[in-house]
Amino acid sequence: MTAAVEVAIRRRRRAVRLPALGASGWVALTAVALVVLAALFAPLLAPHDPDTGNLLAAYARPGAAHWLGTDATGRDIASRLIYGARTSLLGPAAIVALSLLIGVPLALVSAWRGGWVAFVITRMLDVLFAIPGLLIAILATAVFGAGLRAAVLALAVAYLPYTARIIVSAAERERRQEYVRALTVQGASALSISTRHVLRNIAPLIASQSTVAFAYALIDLASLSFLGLAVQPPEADWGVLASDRDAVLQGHSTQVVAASVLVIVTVLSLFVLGARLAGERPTVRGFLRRRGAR
Amino acid sequence: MNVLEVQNLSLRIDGPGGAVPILRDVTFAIGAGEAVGLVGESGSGKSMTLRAVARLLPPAAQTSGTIMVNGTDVATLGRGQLRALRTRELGFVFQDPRSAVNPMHRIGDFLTEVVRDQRGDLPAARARALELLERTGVPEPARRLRQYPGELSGGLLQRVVIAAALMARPTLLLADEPTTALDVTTQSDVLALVDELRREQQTAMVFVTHDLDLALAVCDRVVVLYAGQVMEVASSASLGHAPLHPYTRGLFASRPPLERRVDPLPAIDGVPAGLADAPSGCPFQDRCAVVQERCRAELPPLRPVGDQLVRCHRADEIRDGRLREPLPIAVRAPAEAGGR
Repeated sequence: MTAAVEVAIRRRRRAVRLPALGASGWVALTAVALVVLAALFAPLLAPHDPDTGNLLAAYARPGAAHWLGTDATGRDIASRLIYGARTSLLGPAAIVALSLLIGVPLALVSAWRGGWVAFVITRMLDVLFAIPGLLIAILATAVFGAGLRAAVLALAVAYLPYTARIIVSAAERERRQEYVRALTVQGASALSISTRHVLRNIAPLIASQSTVAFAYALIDLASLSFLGLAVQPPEADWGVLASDRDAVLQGHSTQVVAASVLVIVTVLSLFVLGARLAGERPTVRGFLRRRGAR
Repeated sequence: MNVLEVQNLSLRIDGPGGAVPILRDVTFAIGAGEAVGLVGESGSGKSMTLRAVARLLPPAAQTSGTIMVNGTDVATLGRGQLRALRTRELGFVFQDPRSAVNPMHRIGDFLTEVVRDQRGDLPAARARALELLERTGVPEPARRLRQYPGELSGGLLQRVVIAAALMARPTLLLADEPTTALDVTTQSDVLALVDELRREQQTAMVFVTHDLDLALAVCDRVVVLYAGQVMEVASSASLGHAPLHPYTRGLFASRPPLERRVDPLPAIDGVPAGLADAPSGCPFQDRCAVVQERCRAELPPLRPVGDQLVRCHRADEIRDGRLREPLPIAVRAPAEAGGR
């Protein structure tokens, strides 16, 4: 997505150049890229099969054979973390994609039509705002059974108002531009103006917002998996791997610490990247503020 | 049949403090191939008149009266019909080409936007775009089609906007101060160009400007607006020769002379009034040099005096030179600058 944004921004020659990523931005981009590559090439990178263990090698210490040691059933922790990147990234990606899929058309219609249409859409989003995302997700897993699908659908609905609200305000601002009026009077259709022009011009903002939303979706999904509501063991997922209480109680905390560190590093990197894409400086205050408006 | 007939157009915009009147009883018509100038100060309602014709008004606007484009009442059109009318009959040239063109799209895409949108003949549209760019005097037109708006100068970009307005061979060109954002030399080139293309295609034009001289040079007839009302309608020849309304005469008198320095520049006393804060009676009364009791009590009708239409109780006296008070400029005499 960032590549598309770069192209889009570079094309906007007169208005903005690609915001300078800065040192922190490049570090963040590298970290995110590494995680994505690990997920993509997990079968090539992982030294062992993540799901088959050797009970004789349970709780092996980190070493040459097992970089980070093994868990209670003798499965290679490093391999499980590498494979875990897949579910840990796929879930948030699905959440962001779904909320964009519903949010973008809603936002464009609302910005274009205005009036009572915008009123109805805004009120609907307000109702969704009122319900905390994790609560919807926990409710959904209670109704539809624990698992990734219910959690993803519920979080997509919970993230919808945040995504849609930001796109609505950006689209409304863009819609008031004179060039939209010029296109209207040329006889261009509403659909074409909304998609080919308005949507395309606010794409960088959507990319930045989606990056941050992705980070929060990752935390939320990992939390749900940690609670045993989303991804189910034995499937490798960072949230699942971080919830191995037995290992910690027996003094083997490598897996839990490593999984937690991966979640934290990935989320912070995504946040820094999102801020840099929006041309802002990443700050702790910004992070907390965005937490409220994910 | 007239290309455009505006009859008794009134316009109000709803605001938090009630409806604000913008236009009152604006009436004029344009025949095929004719060019009419709408002249007035800022806030006189000239741009709003133009927007009303293209139905580009803000949602809070309420209009009454009729606007007919080639015999079709614009107000009654459904969404699809309105689009068809805009595509086929209207061309709109905006004041600032920079903001009227999406900076993210290539010039070629901008020119062929509507044809692509309506799944028309794209190769033909590209050929037409190339031809129009050539005709509008854009150098290296083929290369321009691939460029982005940011790579073109303001003058070139305005030519592109004019080309876009003429793409579909409209019958009516609506030009909203098309040269205000350009420098003076570019301005005359662009205007000569519009004139030439317009005559070739027999396109009628409404030309909105605050520059009276420009309107006289470009247009066949001129409509002078003040505070949302028509003050005077006359052919460019008779208006330039013998303006009748005191306001029009004030406008002429406010032109700085070319041959010598004047400091301060001549101006009409007072502040331009919008329709909202216009007094009852004649809206120009507080700034008029020849105001009478009657002007304060009663709004003069727009009536024929000679071969022009004037909204002034004293137009006959002015025409015949029977006024005792001095007016800014004398009828049929060279302009004596310094109307203060």
